[in-house]
Amino acid sequence: MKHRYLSGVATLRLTSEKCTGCGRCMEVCPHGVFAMHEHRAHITALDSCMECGACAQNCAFGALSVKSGVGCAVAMINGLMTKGDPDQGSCDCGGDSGSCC
Amino acid sequence: MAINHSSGSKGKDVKDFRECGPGTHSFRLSPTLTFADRLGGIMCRTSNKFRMNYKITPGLYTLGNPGKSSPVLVSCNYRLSLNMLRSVLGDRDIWILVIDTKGINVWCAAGKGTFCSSEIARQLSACDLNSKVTHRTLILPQLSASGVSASKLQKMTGFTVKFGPVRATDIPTYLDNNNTATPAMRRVRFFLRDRATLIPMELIPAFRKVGLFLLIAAILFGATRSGIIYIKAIAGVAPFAVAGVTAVFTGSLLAPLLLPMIPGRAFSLKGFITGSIGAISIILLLPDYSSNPLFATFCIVAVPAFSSYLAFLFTGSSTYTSPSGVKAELKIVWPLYLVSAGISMVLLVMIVIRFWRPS
Repeated sequence: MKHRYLSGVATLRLTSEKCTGCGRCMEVCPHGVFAMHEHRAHITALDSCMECGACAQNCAFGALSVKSGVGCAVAMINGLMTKGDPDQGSCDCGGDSGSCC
Repeated sequence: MAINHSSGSKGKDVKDFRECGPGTHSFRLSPTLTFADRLGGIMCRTSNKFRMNYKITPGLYTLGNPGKSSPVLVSCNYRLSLNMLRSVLGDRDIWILVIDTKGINVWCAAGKGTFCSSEIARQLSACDLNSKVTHRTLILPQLSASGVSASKLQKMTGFTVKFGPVRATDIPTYLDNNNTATPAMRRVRFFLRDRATLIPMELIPAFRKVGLFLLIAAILFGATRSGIIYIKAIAGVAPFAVAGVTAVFTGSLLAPLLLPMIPGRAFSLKGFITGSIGAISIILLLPDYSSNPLFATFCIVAVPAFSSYLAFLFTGSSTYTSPSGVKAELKIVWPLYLVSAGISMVLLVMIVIRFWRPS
Protein backbone atom coordinates (compact mmCIF):
# COMPACT_ATOMS: atom_id res chain seq x y z
CA MET A 1 0.00 0.00 0.00
CA LYS A 2 1.12 3.50 -0.75
CA HIS A 3 2.02 5.88 2.06
CA ARG A 4 0.34 9.26 1.94
CA TYR A 5 1.04 12.14 4.27
CA LEU A 6 -0.78 15.46 4.72
CA SER A 7 -1.68 17.25 1.53
CA GLY A 8 -1.23 20.93 0.73
CA VAL A 9 1.56 21.59 3.23
CA ALA A 10 4.79 21.15 1.25
CA THR A 11 6.80 24.35 0.73
CA LEU A 12 8.55 23.18 -2.45
CA ARG A 13 8.53 25.76 -5.26
CA LEU A 14 9.87 25.57 -8.79
CA THR A 15 10.75 28.60 -10.88
CA SER A 16 10.27 27.14 -14.31
CA GLU A 17 12.12 29.94 -16.15
CA LYS A 18 15.37 29.07 -14.38
CA CYS A 19 15.11 25.34 -15.12
CA THR A 20 17.53 24.02 -17.74
CA GLY A 21 16.14 20.49 -17.77
CA CYS A 22 19.34 18.90 -16.46
CA GLY A 23 17.34 16.30 -14.54
CA ARG A 24 19.39 16.44 -11.35
CA CYS A 25 16.24 16.96 -9.25
CA MET A 26 14.73 13.77 -10.61
CA GLU A 27 17.96 11.96 -9.79
CA VAL A 28 18.02 13.01 -6.13
CA CYS A 29 14.31 13.08 -5.21
CA PRO A 30 13.45 10.02 -3.10
CA HIS A 31 9.71 10.34 -3.69
CA GLY A 32 9.32 10.87 -7.44
CA VAL A 33 7.99 14.40 -7.04
CA PHE A 34 9.31 15.60 -10.43
CA ALA A 35 8.75 14.68 -14.03
CA MET A 36 10.47 15.99 -17.16
CA HIS A 37 8.25 17.55 -19.78
CA GLU A 38 9.50 19.43 -22.83
CA HIS A 39 13.03 19.68 -21.41
CA ARG A 40 11.88 21.23 -18.18
CA ALA A 41 11.24 19.78 -14.75
CA HIS A 42 7.70 19.87 -13.42
CA ILE A 43 6.36 19.18 -9.97
CA THR A 44 3.87 16.40 -10.53
CA ALA A 45 3.44 15.01 -7.00
CA LEU A 46 3.77 17.92 -4.60
CA ASP A 47 2.01 16.12 -1.77
CA SER A 48 4.64 13.37 -1.85
CA CYS A 49 7.36 15.93 -1.06
CA MET A 50 8.96 15.35 2.34
CA GLU A 51 10.99 18.58 2.15
CA CYS A 52 14.34 16.82 2.50
CA GLY A 53 15.94 19.61 0.47
CA ALA A 54 17.97 17.35 -1.84
CA CYS A 55 16.58 18.92 -5.02
CA ALA A 56 17.09 22.54 -3.98
CA GLN A 57 20.57 21.73 -2.65
CA ASN A 58 21.48 20.19 -6.00
CA CYS A 59 19.82 22.57 -8.44
CA ALA A 60 22.80 24.47 -9.82
CA PHE A 61 20.49 27.05 -11.38
CA GLY A 62 18.52 28.06 -8.31
CA ALA A 63 15.22 26.99 -9.82
CA LEU A 64 14.06 25.16 -6.72
CA SER A 65 13.33 26.35 -3.23
CA VAL A 66 12.02 24.49 -0.23
CA LYS A 67 11.92 25.11 3.50
CA SER A 68 13.76 21.93 4.26
CA GLY A 69 14.27 20.03 7.45
CA VAL A 70 13.53 16.75 9.11
CA GLY A 71 9.91 15.76 9.63
CA CYS A 72 10.49 14.45 13.12
CA ALA A 73 8.00 15.01 15.95
CA VAL A 74 10.67 14.39 18.61
CA ALA A 75 12.77 17.27 17.30
CA MET A 76 9.81 19.62 17.13
CA ILE A 77 8.48 18.73 20.58
CA ASN A 78 11.99 19.26 21.96
CA GLY A 79 12.09 22.66 20.32
CA LEU A 80 8.62 23.55 21.59
CA MET A 81 9.39 22.49 25.17
CA THR A 82 12.87 23.95 25.50
CA LYS A 83 12.76 27.04 23.28
CA GLY A 84 9.06 27.55 22.66
CA ASP A 85 9.58 27.12 18.92
CA PRO A 86 9.19 23.81 17.07
CA ASP A 87 11.75 24.93 14.46
CA GLN A 88 14.51 25.33 17.05
CA GLY A 89 14.62 21.73 18.19
CA SER A 90 16.98 18.97 17.21
CA CYS A 91 16.27 15.30 17.20
CA ASP A 92 17.77 13.29 19.99
CA CYS A 93 19.64 10.85 17.86
CA GLY A 94 22.20 10.13 20.51
CA GLY A 95 20.07 11.18 23.41
CA ASP A 96 17.63 9.07 25.39
CA SER A 97 14.91 9.11 22.81
CA GLY A 98 14.46 6.13 20.57
CA SER A 99 13.23 7.86 17.49
CA CYS A 100 15.73 8.93 14.93
CA CYS A 101 15.39 11.21 11.99
CA MET B 1 35.59 -7.77 12.50
CA ALA B 2 36.86 -9.06 9.22
CA ILE B 3 38.90 -6.09 8.15
CA ASN B 4 42.58 -6.33 7.42
CA HIS B 5 45.33 -3.99 6.49
CA SER B 6 45.63 -4.24 2.74
CA SER B 7 49.38 -4.63 2.70
CA GLY B 8 49.98 -5.87 6.20
CA SER B 9 49.51 -9.23 7.86
CA LYS B 10 46.05 -10.66 8.21
CA GLY B 11 44.00 -10.46 11.38
CA LYS B 12 44.82 -6.92 12.39
CA ASP B 13 42.19 -5.64 14.71
CA VAL B 14 40.08 -2.65 13.90
CA LYS B 15 41.69 -0.84 16.85
CA ASP B 16 44.93 -0.69 14.91
CA PHE B 17 43.35 1.60 12.37
CA ARG B 18 44.64 5.12 11.99
CA GLU B 19 43.56 7.91 9.72
CA CYS B 20 45.19 7.48 6.39
CA GLY B 21 47.33 10.38 5.31
CA PRO B 22 49.05 10.96 1.98
CA GLY B 23 50.89 7.86 0.89
CA THR B 24 49.47 5.70 3.64
CA HIS B 25 47.60 2.50 3.03
CA SER B 26 43.95 1.82 2.65
CA PHE B 27 42.16 -0.80 4.68
CA ARG B 28 40.82 -4.02 3.33
CA LEU B 29 37.19 -4.95 3.94
CA SER B 30 35.79 -8.45 3.79
CA PRO B 31 32.50 -8.98 1.95
CA THR B 32 31.48 -11.57 4.55
CA LEU B 33 29.67 -10.59 7.70
CA THR B 34 30.82 -12.34 10.86
CA PHE B 35 28.63 -13.41 13.77
CA ALA B 36 29.78 -10.28 15.62
CA ASP B 37 28.66 -8.11 12.69
CA ARG B 38 25.21 -9.72 12.69
CA LEU B 39 24.95 -9.34 16.46
CA GLY B 40 25.96 -5.68 16.06
CA GLY B 41 23.13 -5.27 13.57
CA ILE B 42 20.61 -6.55 16.11
CA MET B 43 22.12 -4.42 18.89
CA CYS B 44 21.78 -1.29 16.71
CA ARG B 45 18.03 -1.93 16.50
CA THR B 46 17.61 -2.40 20.22
CA SER B 47 20.07 -0.14 22.02
CA ASN B 48 20.44 3.54 21.32
CA LYS B 49 23.70 3.72 23.23
CA PHE B 50 25.21 0.88 21.23
CA ARG B 51 23.96 2.33 17.95
CA MET B 52 25.49 5.75 18.62
CA ASN B 53 28.91 4.21 19.15
CA TYR B 54 28.86 1.69 16.30
CA LYS B 55 31.45 3.54 14.27
CA ILE B 56 34.34 2.85 11.97
CA THR B 57 37.45 4.96 11.51
CA PRO B 58 37.05 7.27 8.49
CA GLY B 59 39.46 6.68 5.62
CA LEU B 60 39.90 4.80 2.39
CA TYR B 61 38.78 1.16 2.38
CA THR B 62 39.01 -1.51 -0.27
CA LEU B 63 36.86 -4.45 -1.26
CA GLY B 64 38.58 -7.08 -3.40
CA ASN B 65 41.59 -5.70 -5.24
CA PRO B 66 40.62 -2.34 -6.70
CA GLY B 67 42.85 -0.78 -9.32
CA LYS B 68 43.25 2.59 -11.00
CA SER B 69 39.91 2.30 -12.82
CA SER B 70 37.79 0.73 -10.08
CA PRO B 71 34.71 2.62 -8.92
CA VAL B 72 34.85 4.83 -5.82
CA LEU B 73 31.87 4.79 -3.47
CA VAL B 74 31.50 7.35 -0.70
CA SER B 75 29.84 6.35 2.56
CA CYS B 76 29.31 7.34 6.19
CA ASN B 77 31.19 5.88 9.15
CA TYR B 78 28.19 4.20 10.76
CA ARG B 79 29.39 0.64 10.91
CA LEU B 80 25.94 -0.84 10.23
CA SER B 81 25.83 1.03 6.90
CA LEU B 82 29.31 -0.10 5.96
CA ASN B 83 28.51 -3.71 6.92
CA MET B 84 25.47 -3.58 4.65
CA LEU B 85 27.52 -2.04 1.86
CA ARG B 86 30.34 -4.57 1.93
CA SER B 87 27.99 -7.55 2.25
CA VAL B 88 25.97 -6.65 -0.86
CA LEU B 89 28.96 -5.85 -3.07
CA GLY B 90 30.23 -9.42 -2.97
CA ASP B 91 33.59 -10.02 -4.57
CA ARG B 92 33.76 -6.84 -6.60
CA ASP B 93 36.85 -4.62 -6.67
CA ILE B 94 35.81 -1.32 -5.17
CA TRP B 95 37.20 1.66 -3.31
CA ILE B 96 35.08 2.95 -0.44
CA LEU B 97 35.81 6.40 0.90
CA VAL B 98 34.41 6.49 4.43
CA ILE B 99 33.88 10.03 5.67
CA ASP B 100 33.42 11.16 9.27
CA THR B 101 29.70 11.51 10.03
CA LYS B 102 30.19 10.89 13.77
CA GLY B 103 28.82 7.39 13.35
CA ILE B 104 25.48 8.61 11.97
CA ASN B 105 23.80 7.01 8.95
CA VAL B 106 23.87 8.69 5.53
CA TRP B 107 20.41 10.24 5.47
CA CYS B 108 20.46 11.65 9.00
CA ALA B 109 24.04 12.86 8.57
CA ALA B 110 23.07 14.65 5.35
CA GLY B 111 20.16 16.27 7.18
CA LYS B 112 22.41 17.29 10.05
CA GLY B 113 25.06 18.64 7.68
CA THR B 114 27.87 16.23 8.61
CA PHE B 115 27.64 14.31 5.33
CA CYS B 116 28.72 17.32 3.28
CA SER B 117 30.93 18.45 0.41
CA SER B 118 33.72 19.82 2.59
CA GLU B 119 34.07 16.60 4.61
CA ILE B 120 34.21 14.52 1.43
CA ALA B 121 36.82 16.87 -0.05
CA ARG B 122 38.87 16.74 3.16
CA GLN B 123 38.82 12.93 3.35
CA LEU B 124 39.52 12.65 -0.36
CA SER B 125 42.73 14.64 -0.13
CA ALA B 126 43.75 13.07 3.21
CA CYS B 127 43.58 9.65 1.58
CA ASP B 128 45.28 10.87 -1.59
CA LEU B 129 42.58 9.39 -3.79
CA ASN B 130 43.95 11.35 -6.77
CA SER B 131 46.96 9.06 -6.92
CA LYS B 132 44.98 5.85 -6.39
CA VAL B 133 42.57 6.16 -9.33
CA THR B 134 42.94 7.58 -12.81
CA HIS B 135 39.22 8.20 -13.40
CA ARG B 136 37.50 11.17 -11.76
CA THR B 137 34.08 9.91 -10.67
CA LEU B 138 32.64 9.63 -7.19
CA ILE B 139 29.48 7.64 -6.50
CA LEU B 140 27.53 9.01 -3.56
CA PRO B 141 24.48 7.46 -1.90
CA GLN B 142 21.34 9.15 -3.25
CA LEU B 143 20.15 9.95 0.25
CA SER B 144 23.24 12.08 0.87
CA ALA B 145 21.92 14.58 -1.68
CA SER B 146 20.15 16.66 0.97
CA GLY B 147 23.58 17.43 2.45
CA VAL B 148 25.79 17.47 -0.63
CA SER B 149 25.65 19.83 -3.56
CA ALA B 150 27.06 17.80 -6.43
CA SER B 151 28.13 20.85 -8.43
CA LYS B 152 29.90 22.37 -5.42
CA LEU B 153 31.74 19.14 -4.64
CA GLN B 154 32.72 18.85 -8.28
CA LYS B 155 34.27 22.32 -8.18
CA MET B 156 36.07 21.56 -4.94
CA THR B 157 37.58 18.22 -5.97
CA GLY B 158 37.54 17.97 -9.75
CA PHE B 159 35.62 14.71 -9.41
CA THR B 160 32.34 14.21 -11.25
CA VAL B 161 29.61 13.37 -8.74
CA LYS B 162 27.06 10.65 -9.42
CA PHE B 163 24.28 9.73 -7.06
CA GLY B 164 23.85 5.99 -6.72
CA PRO B 165 20.62 4.25 -5.75
CA VAL B 166 18.78 4.71 -2.43
CA ARG B 167 19.34 1.15 -1.29
CA ALA B 168 22.73 -0.53 -1.06
CA THR B 169 21.25 -3.75 -2.43
CA ASP B 170 20.70 -2.01 -5.79
CA ILE B 171 24.35 -0.90 -6.12
CA PRO B 172 25.53 -4.02 -8.02
CA THR B 173 22.79 -3.51 -10.65
CA TYR B 174 23.57 0.21 -10.73
CA LEU B 175 27.26 -0.48 -11.42
CA ASP B 176 26.48 -3.14 -14.00
CA ASN B 177 24.22 -0.72 -15.87
CA ASN B 178 26.95 1.83 -16.41
CA ASN B 179 26.09 3.85 -13.29
CA THR B 180 22.43 4.33 -14.05
CA ALA B 181 19.56 3.81 -11.63
CA THR B 182 16.02 2.93 -12.61
CA PRO B 183 13.25 5.21 -11.23
CA ALA B 184 12.33 2.43 -8.77
CA MET B 185 15.88 2.46 -7.38
CA ARG B 186 15.54 6.18 -6.75
CA ARG B 187 12.48 5.83 -4.54
CA VAL B 188 12.52 5.44 -0.78
CA ARG B 189 10.27 2.63 0.36
CA PHE B 190 8.86 1.92 3.77
CA PHE B 191 7.80 -1.70 3.71
CA LEU B 192 6.35 -3.70 6.58
CA ARG B 193 9.73 -5.26 7.29
CA ASP B 194 11.42 -1.84 7.35
CA ARG B 195 8.88 -0.64 9.88
CA ALA B 196 9.10 -3.83 11.94
CA THR B 197 12.87 -3.35 12.29
CA LEU B 198 12.22 0.02 13.94
CA ILE B 199 9.63 -1.21 16.46
CA PRO B 200 11.98 -2.16 19.35
CA MET B 201 13.38 1.37 19.45
CA GLU B 202 9.82 2.70 19.64
CA LEU B 203 8.72 0.29 22.36
CA ILE B 204 11.67 0.75 24.73
CA PRO B 205 11.30 4.52 25.35
CA ALA B 206 7.50 4.18 25.37
CA PHE B 207 7.62 1.56 28.12
CA ARG B 208 10.04 3.77 30.03
CA LYS B 209 7.44 6.57 30.04
CA VAL B 210 4.71 4.17 31.19
CA GLY B 211 7.02 2.86 33.93
CA LEU B 212 7.56 6.35 35.26
CA PHE B 213 3.82 7.00 35.32
CA LEU B 214 3.15 3.69 37.10
CA LEU B 215 5.80 4.48 39.68
CA ILE B 216 4.07 7.76 40.53
CA ALA B 217 0.69 5.95 40.62
CA ALA B 218 2.13 3.21 42.87
CA ILE B 219 3.38 5.79 45.35
CA LEU B 220 -0.05 7.46 45.38
CA PHE B 221 -1.84 4.17 45.92
CA GLY B 222 0.56 2.54 48.36
CA ALA B 223 2.19 5.28 50.39
CA THR B 224 1.27 5.63 54.06
CA ARG B 225 3.00 7.38 56.94
CA SER B 226 4.63 4.12 57.95
CA GLY B 227 5.87 3.22 54.48
CA ILE B 228 4.53 1.78 51.22
CA ILE B 229 1.92 -0.96 51.44
CA TYR B 230 2.87 -3.03 48.42
CA ILE B 231 -0.35 -5.04 48.22
CA LYS B 232 -2.32 -1.81 48.01
CA ALA B 233 0.10 -0.30 45.53
CA ILE B 234 -0.12 -3.31 43.22
CA ALA B 235 -3.90 -3.59 43.47
CA GLY B 236 -4.35 0.10 42.72
CA VAL B 237 -1.82 0.28 39.89
CA ALA B 238 -2.84 -2.92 38.05
CA PRO B 239 -5.61 -1.31 35.93
CA PHE B 240 -3.29 1.57 35.02
CA ALA B 241 -0.58 -0.89 33.99
CA VAL B 242 -3.09 -2.54 31.65
CA ALA B 243 -4.05 0.86 30.21
CA GLY B 244 -0.38 1.86 29.77
CA VAL B 245 0.65 -1.37 28.07
CA THR B 246 -2.40 -1.16 25.79
CA ALA B 247 -1.52 2.38 24.70
CA VAL B 248 2.09 1.37 23.98
CA PHE B 249 0.87 -1.64 22.04
CA THR B 250 -1.53 0.40 19.90
CA GLY B 251 0.69 3.50 19.48
CA SER B 252 4.21 2.09 19.15
CA LEU B 253 3.50 -1.31 17.64
CA LEU B 254 0.14 -1.48 15.85
CA ALA B 255 0.20 2.01 14.34
CA PRO B 256 3.75 1.74 12.88
CA LEU B 257 3.20 -1.81 11.65
CA LEU B 258 -0.19 -1.24 10.03
CA LEU B 259 0.68 2.36 9.05
CA PRO B 260 -0.69 2.56 5.47
CA MET B 261 -3.73 0.44 6.35
CA ILE B 262 -4.99 2.69 9.15
CA PRO B 263 -7.38 5.43 7.99
CA GLY B 264 -6.19 9.02 8.01
CA ARG B 265 -2.91 10.60 6.93
CA ALA B 266 -1.77 12.27 10.14
CA PHE B 267 0.25 9.90 12.34
CA SER B 268 -1.45 11.32 15.43
CA LEU B 269 -4.85 10.39 13.96
CA LYS B 270 -3.68 6.87 13.13
CA GLY B 271 -2.47 6.41 16.71
CA PHE B 272 -5.71 7.87 18.05
CA ILE B 273 -7.73 5.35 16.05
CA THR B 274 -5.71 2.32 17.21
CA GLY B 275 -5.71 3.70 20.75
CA SER B 276 -9.49 4.10 20.74
CA ILE B 277 -9.84 0.46 19.73
CA GLY B 278 -7.49 -0.38 22.62
CA ALA B 279 -9.53 1.65 25.11
CA ILE B 280 -12.80 0.07 24.00
CA SER B 281 -11.19 -3.39 24.26
CA ILE B 282 -10.17 -2.76 27.88
CA ILE B 283 -13.68 -1.63 28.78
CA LEU B 284 -15.33 -4.62 27.10
CA LEU B 285 -12.84 -7.30 28.10
CA LEU B 286 -12.07 -6.26 31.67
CA PRO B 287 -15.42 -5.49 33.33
CA ASP B 288 -13.80 -5.79 36.78
CA TYR B 289 -11.72 -2.71 36.02
CA SER B 290 -14.15 -0.79 33.84
CA SER B 291 -17.01 -1.16 36.33
CA ASN B 292 -15.31 1.77 38.05
CA PRO B 293 -16.69 4.67 35.98
CA LEU B 294 -13.72 6.85 36.88
CA PHE B 295 -11.29 4.27 35.48
CA ALA B 296 -13.45 3.74 32.40
CA THR B 297 -13.30 7.50 31.80
CA PHE B 298 -9.54 7.44 32.36
CA CYS B 299 -9.25 4.74 29.68
CA ILE B 300 -11.28 6.69 27.17
CA VAL B 301 -9.29 9.90 27.76
CA ALA B 302 -5.75 8.64 28.32
CA VAL B 303 -5.29 5.56 26.12
CA PRO B 304 -6.21 7.08 22.72
CA ALA B 305 -4.30 10.30 23.53
CA PHE B 306 -1.12 8.54 24.66
CA SER B 307 -1.35 6.11 21.74
CA SER B 308 -1.74 9.07 19.40
CA TYR B 309 1.33 10.75 20.92
CA LEU B 310 3.42 7.60 20.53
CA ALA B 311 2.37 7.13 16.90
CA PHE B 312 3.13 10.80 16.24
CA LEU B 313 6.71 10.25 17.45
CA PHE B 314 7.07 7.63 14.70
CA THR B 315 7.14 10.46 12.13
CA GLY B 316 10.84 10.78 13.01
CA SER B 317 11.46 7.17 11.98
CA SER B 318 9.32 7.27 8.87
CA THR B 319 10.70 7.99 5.43
CA TYR B 320 8.05 10.27 4.03
CA THR B 321 6.87 12.89 6.57
CA SER B 322 7.66 16.53 5.83
CA PRO B 323 8.57 19.05 8.54
CA SER B 324 5.67 21.27 7.40
CA GLY B 325 3.28 18.37 7.87
CA VAL B 326 4.65 17.41 11.28
CA LYS B 327 4.42 21.03 12.37
CA ALA B 328 0.82 21.22 11.17
CA GLU B 329 0.01 18.11 13.19
CA LEU B 330 1.82 19.40 16.24
CA LYS B 331 -0.14 22.66 16.25
CA ILE B 332 -3.42 20.79 16.48
CA VAL B 333 -2.52 17.88 18.73
CA TRP B 334 -0.20 19.48 21.28
CA PRO B 335 -2.96 21.39 23.14
CA LEU B 336 -5.14 18.26 23.01
CA TYR B 337 -2.31 16.17 24.52
CA LEU B 338 -1.85 18.67 27.34
CA VAL B 339 -5.59 18.73 28.11
CA SER B 340 -5.80 14.92 28.02
CA ALA B 341 -2.78 14.61 30.31
CA GLY B 342 -4.34 17.10 32.74
CA ILE B 343 -7.71 15.31 32.82
CA SER B 344 -5.96 11.94 33.19
CA MET B 345 -3.99 13.13 36.20
CA VAL B 346 -7.15 14.53 37.85
CA LEU B 347 -8.92 11.20 37.26
CA LEU B 348 -5.96 9.31 38.74
CA VAL B 349 -6.09 11.45 41.87
CA MET B 350 -9.86 10.96 42.14
CA ILE B 351 -9.45 7.20 41.83
CA VAL B 352 -6.72 7.26 44.50
CA ILE B 353 -8.95 9.24 46.88
CA ARG B 354 -11.81 6.78 46.40
CA PHE B 355 -9.39 3.90 46.82
CA TRP B 356 -8.32 5.21 50.23
CA ARG B 357 -11.77 6.21 51.50
CA PRO B 358 -12.83 3.73 54.19
CA SER B 359 -15.73 1.70 52.91
